Amino acid sequence: MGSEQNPALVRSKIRKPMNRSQREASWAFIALIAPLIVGLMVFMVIPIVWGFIVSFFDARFTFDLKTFVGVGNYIRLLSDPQFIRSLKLISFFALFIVPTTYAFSLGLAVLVNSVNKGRGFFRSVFFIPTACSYVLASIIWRMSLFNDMYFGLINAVMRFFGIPPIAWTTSSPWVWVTLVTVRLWLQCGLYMILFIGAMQEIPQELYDAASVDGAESGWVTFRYITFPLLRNTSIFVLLMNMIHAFRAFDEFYNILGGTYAAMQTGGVSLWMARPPLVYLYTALFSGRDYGGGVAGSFIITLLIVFVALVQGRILGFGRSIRA
Amino acid sequence: MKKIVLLLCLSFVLAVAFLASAEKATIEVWYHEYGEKGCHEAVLRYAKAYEKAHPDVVVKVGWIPGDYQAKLNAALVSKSGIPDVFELGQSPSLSMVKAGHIVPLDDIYTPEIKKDFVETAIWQSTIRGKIYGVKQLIDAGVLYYHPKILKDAGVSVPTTFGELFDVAKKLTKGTQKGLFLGNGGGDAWGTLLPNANGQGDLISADGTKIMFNTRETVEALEGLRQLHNSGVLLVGAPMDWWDPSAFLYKMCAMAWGGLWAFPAIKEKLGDDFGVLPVLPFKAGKNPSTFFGGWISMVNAHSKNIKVAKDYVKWLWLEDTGKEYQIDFNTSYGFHITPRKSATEAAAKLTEDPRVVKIVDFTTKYARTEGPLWDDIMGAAYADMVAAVLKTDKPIAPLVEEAAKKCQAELELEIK
Repeated sequence: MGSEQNPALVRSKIRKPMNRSQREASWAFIALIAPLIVGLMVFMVIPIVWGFIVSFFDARFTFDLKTFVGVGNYIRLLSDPQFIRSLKLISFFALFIVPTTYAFSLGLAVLVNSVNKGRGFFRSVFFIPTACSYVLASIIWRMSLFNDMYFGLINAVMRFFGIPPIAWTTSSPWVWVTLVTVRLWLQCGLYMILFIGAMQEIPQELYDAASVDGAESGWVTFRYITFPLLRNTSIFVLLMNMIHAFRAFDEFYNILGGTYAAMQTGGVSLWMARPPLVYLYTALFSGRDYGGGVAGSFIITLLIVFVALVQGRILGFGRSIRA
Repeated sequence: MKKIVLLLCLSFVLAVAFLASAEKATIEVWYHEYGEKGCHEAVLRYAKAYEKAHPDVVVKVGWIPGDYQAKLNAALVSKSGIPDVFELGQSPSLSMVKAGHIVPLDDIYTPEIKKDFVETAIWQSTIRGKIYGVKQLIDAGVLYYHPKILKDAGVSVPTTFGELFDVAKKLTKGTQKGLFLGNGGGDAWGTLLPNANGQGDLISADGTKIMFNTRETVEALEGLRQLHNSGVLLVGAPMDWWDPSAFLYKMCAMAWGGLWAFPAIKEKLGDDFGVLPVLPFKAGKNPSTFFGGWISMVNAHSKNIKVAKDYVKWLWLEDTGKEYQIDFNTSYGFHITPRKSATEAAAKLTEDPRVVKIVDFTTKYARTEGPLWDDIMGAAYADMVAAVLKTDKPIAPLVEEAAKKCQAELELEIK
């Protein structure tokens, strides 16, 4: 850039007055970007700051900030065994689902990329679930595919083979099959597309050179060419996946509970697998303890940030690929 | 020129309309979306009748679908004064009073009217000596059963929980289960079964102590856990216990449901079904059921508190109020009228002997949590019941832990 080559300009730090077209350009820039900035401020920044302030007060049933409790809400939440239980649960969930989603979407990408005809068709087929809402998919999973009764789809297939029906949404180990499969179905398509895009960036010459050197295509080329060059995409996918896993709410709430169950019977099924956001929603916001609810959200945010930093450290986020 | 004239005319018309409406007091009344046909039209009719009798008042009716509680909370917290009158599906809470959301309604009750109400209805709206609500309808829980299925299997109608368990075991064959207590697998009886074992109120009468950490509660929960693990309970039904479909499609021989389902069941089965309360846990104890329903309250931030109170009084408490209660409770859905005089006068509540039985055990034994029980305590209790049903941890420590949590919350609440 010009400034690098001319140290005098950099060191002098004299701001040259803008000419007319530059000023017009600046105004155009501000005018076009203003809606975005205003939107971000109003809908994201201000609520976050306001929420942070509320979390230091005893705000029950009201937003009048009368009683200052300092870190009282945070301490109360961290000493709540149910909240800690939900944090443990989501950590284990994330630990399992992140590598699983990664493996599935990478595998799908490799398969789809290796097909000669109909690549576009397969890409679309696997990507379409991303457009489906979590709520809709959860309801279909709960009422149709994994219905507890003998007429649920999976149970009906099992009945054909003489296996007694399994309660997929109300009994403990099996509910995880339901929850994990719905998340995989919904997510893998998106990450698959990212990997396919990244794979198509890899220059063909590398593969040609490899085959000249006698490397068979397949596992060897994958391990030594494809996989290393997907590193940046992999890191991105793992990070997004992890953050998304910690924010899990929709499929848990809709498969295990839903509005009425959580409100009236207390949601026994929901108790079995209750991630922190669901716990905050049903136990705190429902009970109108707004201060506690927001404090909980910030605790979860801190946890996500911590895990992201650790993950970044381990995976070397930010280091450039040595070509 | 023409444009200016048009604008002037428009503003004149608007000014007149505004002034005209400013003379009338406007109150907004909120109801949640009742599922029964005709309910909406009925409340609009009541509003119109009030407007006719009081020409200087305009009554707007809000019919709120979806998550009524959330929308109501948002409206109350905003302190806008709307709605002026609203209904609540549970007892008014001390937190609501402390946050200044509702006004006492002692002045619209008379001592005779107060006595006319079922006692529990008055108790659940009384906070620190003042009454904050008017019960508009009572919901009760009913255990429905198919007498033919019982007869074919050669078992008699159970009279205690133990007998219920045995009967359910005998009636579980093939795709039909013996008993349906909801998809939670028994949690719907989490407070009712201990009550049927002699456990009284969850909070002491003076409102300072949590009372459910007792042997009765532990025993009853032990029974519930056994029931849950025995395989006689239907779980995973497409609709939960408040919908009678599991009972009607004979997915189970006996099903827990609500009084609201009675008409639908009667239409399909006629005389071919029976009703029971939550049976006594053992011989010598009383039955139980829940005392549900909706309560009318007045928003403390309403701009027309006097009119709002008058509306509530006119609709539910005066003599005409009796008719409205009967109409609202029995003409569309099926509920029990909170006023004893209304119950005696209501044809639908006195004709069918099964309904008479339900009214009897509801007015005598039905229970509800009361104004000091808030959602956080409810969540702690529900978590305890979930742990009882879904794990095999010893029950007494679970009950004690929940009681401690509720006690801490109670102390925070009454400060």
